[in-house]
Amino acid sequence: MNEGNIKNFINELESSINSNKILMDDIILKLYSREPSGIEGKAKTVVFPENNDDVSKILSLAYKYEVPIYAQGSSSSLSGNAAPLKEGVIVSFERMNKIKELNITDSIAIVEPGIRIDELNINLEKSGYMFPIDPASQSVATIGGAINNGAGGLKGAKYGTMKDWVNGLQIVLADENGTTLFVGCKTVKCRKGYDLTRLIIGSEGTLALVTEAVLRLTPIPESIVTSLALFNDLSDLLNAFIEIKSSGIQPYIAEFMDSKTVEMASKGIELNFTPEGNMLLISIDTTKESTDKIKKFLENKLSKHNANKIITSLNQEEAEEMGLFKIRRNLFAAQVSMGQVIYGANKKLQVFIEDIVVPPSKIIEAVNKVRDLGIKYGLQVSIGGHIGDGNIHPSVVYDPTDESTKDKVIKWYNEVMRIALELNGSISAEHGIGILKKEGLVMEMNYYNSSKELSIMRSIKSIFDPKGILNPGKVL
Amino acid sequence: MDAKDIMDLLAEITLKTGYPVPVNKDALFKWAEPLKLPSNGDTYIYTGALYQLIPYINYTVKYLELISELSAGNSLINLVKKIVSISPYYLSSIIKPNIKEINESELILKNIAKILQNHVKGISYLYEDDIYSGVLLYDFGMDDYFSIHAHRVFEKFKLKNVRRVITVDPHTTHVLREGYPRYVDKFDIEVINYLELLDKANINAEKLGNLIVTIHDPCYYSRYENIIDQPRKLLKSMGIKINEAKRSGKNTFCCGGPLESFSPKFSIDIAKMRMNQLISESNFIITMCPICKANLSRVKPSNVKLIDIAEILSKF
Amino acid sequence: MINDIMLFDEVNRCMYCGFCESVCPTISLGPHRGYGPRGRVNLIKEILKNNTITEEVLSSIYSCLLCNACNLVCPAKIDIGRAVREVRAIINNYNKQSIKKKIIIRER
Repeated sequence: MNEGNIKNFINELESSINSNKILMDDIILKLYSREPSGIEGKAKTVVFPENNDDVSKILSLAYKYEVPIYAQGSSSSLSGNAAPLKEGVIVSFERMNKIKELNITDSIAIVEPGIRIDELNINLEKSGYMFPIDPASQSVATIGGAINNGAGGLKGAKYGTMKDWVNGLQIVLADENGTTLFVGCKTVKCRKGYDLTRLIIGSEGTLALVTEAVLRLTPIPESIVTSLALFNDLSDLLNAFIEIKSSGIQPYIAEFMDSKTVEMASKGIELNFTPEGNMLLISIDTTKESTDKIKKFLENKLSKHNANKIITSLNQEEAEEMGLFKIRRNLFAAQVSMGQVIYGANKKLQVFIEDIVVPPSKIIEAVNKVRDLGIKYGLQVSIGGHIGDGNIHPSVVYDPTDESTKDKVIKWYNEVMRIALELNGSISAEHGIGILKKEGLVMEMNYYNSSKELSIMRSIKSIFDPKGILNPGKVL
Repeated sequence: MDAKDIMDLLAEITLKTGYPVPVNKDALFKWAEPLKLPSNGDTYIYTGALYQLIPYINYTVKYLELISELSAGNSLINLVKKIVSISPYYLSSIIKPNIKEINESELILKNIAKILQNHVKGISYLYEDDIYSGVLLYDFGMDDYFSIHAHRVFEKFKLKNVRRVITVDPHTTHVLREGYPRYVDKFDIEVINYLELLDKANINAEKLGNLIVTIHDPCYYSRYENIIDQPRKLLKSMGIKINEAKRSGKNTFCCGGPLESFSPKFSIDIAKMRMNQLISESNFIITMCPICKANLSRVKPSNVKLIDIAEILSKF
Repeated sequence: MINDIMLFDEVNRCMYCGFCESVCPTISLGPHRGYGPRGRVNLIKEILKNNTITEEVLSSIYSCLLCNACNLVCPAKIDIGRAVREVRAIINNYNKQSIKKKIIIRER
């Protein structure tokens, strides 16, 4: 890859698409070279496609000049997934953000990749429907980013992740013609040979660029009963969850946070209860008629396991009024302020959020081991996550200029992944591999004696992207 | 259009005339004359002329846009700059804003003053000394100009023995509380907003029947000055029901007005987004800021009422 | 937030999460990320660190409404609206040293 190639690429691109879709300002380019993982790359130009044709032109020229292409939604990913590692061209989907079709009978929405998840849901709410994948960053995360990251979220236990909610995709290949394909179907049922849709989902922009997605929709539940319970003892909390999970009920949401994180997350927000202890937030969707029964069920199980405070709302409005989700929503801010307490308010900090998953039956062990690991490294670890599907997000915050802490954090990060593997889990549940987890991926393949998987993946990559120009340096 | 030109022009005119756009100064405080407010005291209504100026600012900006278009961006706007440097008053004969807008502004101010007259004792008015606050200079970050202007305003206040001012809009309130103390040494004027004052006055309000309204909170009240509950308490005390917009109070969504002079297109697009959010709750929208009212009125559907809170409170 | 160092410390806390972009009225109208709070905060850093001001940087800083909706959702609690106003004052001082550039707010 050399400078000349990018120059020629831009020259030819300028003659085929409108110049207001091309950004060259050096300073603004820096805004497209970063993401919250702290990883910084170097964007040489940003192109803003407005339709499939634009993307096709961009990719065929990129193929011709062998220019690295980095697709971006909102750059909110946490594993270094979208940062331009080598000098290259950003394809930013911020202008392709339309809902093209909404069909309630078929329960699908056809959307462009740049639409933000919250924005989509605001549009669906009127029809009583939702797109159920809700990463904590849903206000900013785009559908395209969520597809490429294989995102999940709070409702993962009930609804799974992106792979379960995309019926089909329009994609553009990095070949001579920038060929457009439609993989998958519009319908849920689909046996169109090999499942390329699910291959693209979670491929982090390394196989093709997504220009349109057929998303599955589901009705918003009639009523959602939510209990917030606080426990002195973390193992009581975990046992309460295990018992609820084993009672023939699939929680709609099941989140937990350890006491230190609860304390931090409660700062600066108004609550009408005292948030002391480890928090379990559990929601069950039901009909209006059954809410009381569910409430009793939940409160019974929670108090049986020594919850010292239980607050239950019978529906979403009540939950909002009672502020039951406030602490959870403040989680990221809590992680930041934990750092500010340690390092001082004016310090630039880096939050490292782990993303392991274990079978829910192993969650108690996983949490205890992660906790001990934090003590071993002398790190202030905040533990929380989507307990309902076994996905936990231990996180540390540190001063990135402090090399010795940084070393410790990287060791810790790798050991957390090891814990997941030892408990039959996986190193990434929903944040993807990006740059930060590439070693972890190899570790996982080796751990499960499945290293040939990696070479199969490499072969697939070379079929889709023979010149290796799509998000180079990521995943594999 | 080059926003830099606009800022330079407004700053020059402010320095030369005390106002950001060409106006007939004597007309700006005429609204108060029928009320016979005392001209001496220690607590004064200070409008900072913002309600009065909005029609002039809007007209001037449109005029400059036109000039900028005709001149393809250059020579004519320099000509305007030259005219301003020689005689800014020449322009005031050209700038003739919509009389209806002026009347509306004056009516709002009259309403505010009347409410204060009726419910708070010992209130005076500054008349010819009720001059512009310089808030645009502060927002533009033209702090040198702002500092010069703020000192002039403070001198006037001192000459009139002002101890306390009652402000009537969010921008003037904020600049007096944040900008003035930064640049004017020993700025010792107490600044109270009229909604804060009325809220404390514990008025026994007459009930207005079954009116349902939606409040558009101005950003500077809700996020800088924490004036959120006061207007709600006042309206509720009159038996008015408030259908809150999804983005209201601390979470309010800007009307787009502050960009009117730099990009009318941005300004109107944001106003449209905001109007849609508001009218999905009710078709009776309450504003509390002249900039919000002017900008939202541009996109107001004909079946929607857009009214300054003072008009409702005047029924007190 | 008065001097350059304090302003730098304020914006330097940005973690780049982008939550602020979800509430910003201008980002969906502008041609790039510079028309949103995350962009503005990081451009302020560039201005203070490297004294670099391009026309696009100016468009970013002057297309801000100062409405401060972003501050409310910022996990690092950066006072973005005030930071933008402060950097305008700094740019004005640079301008006096005759860095003269047009300020054009562009739509997509």
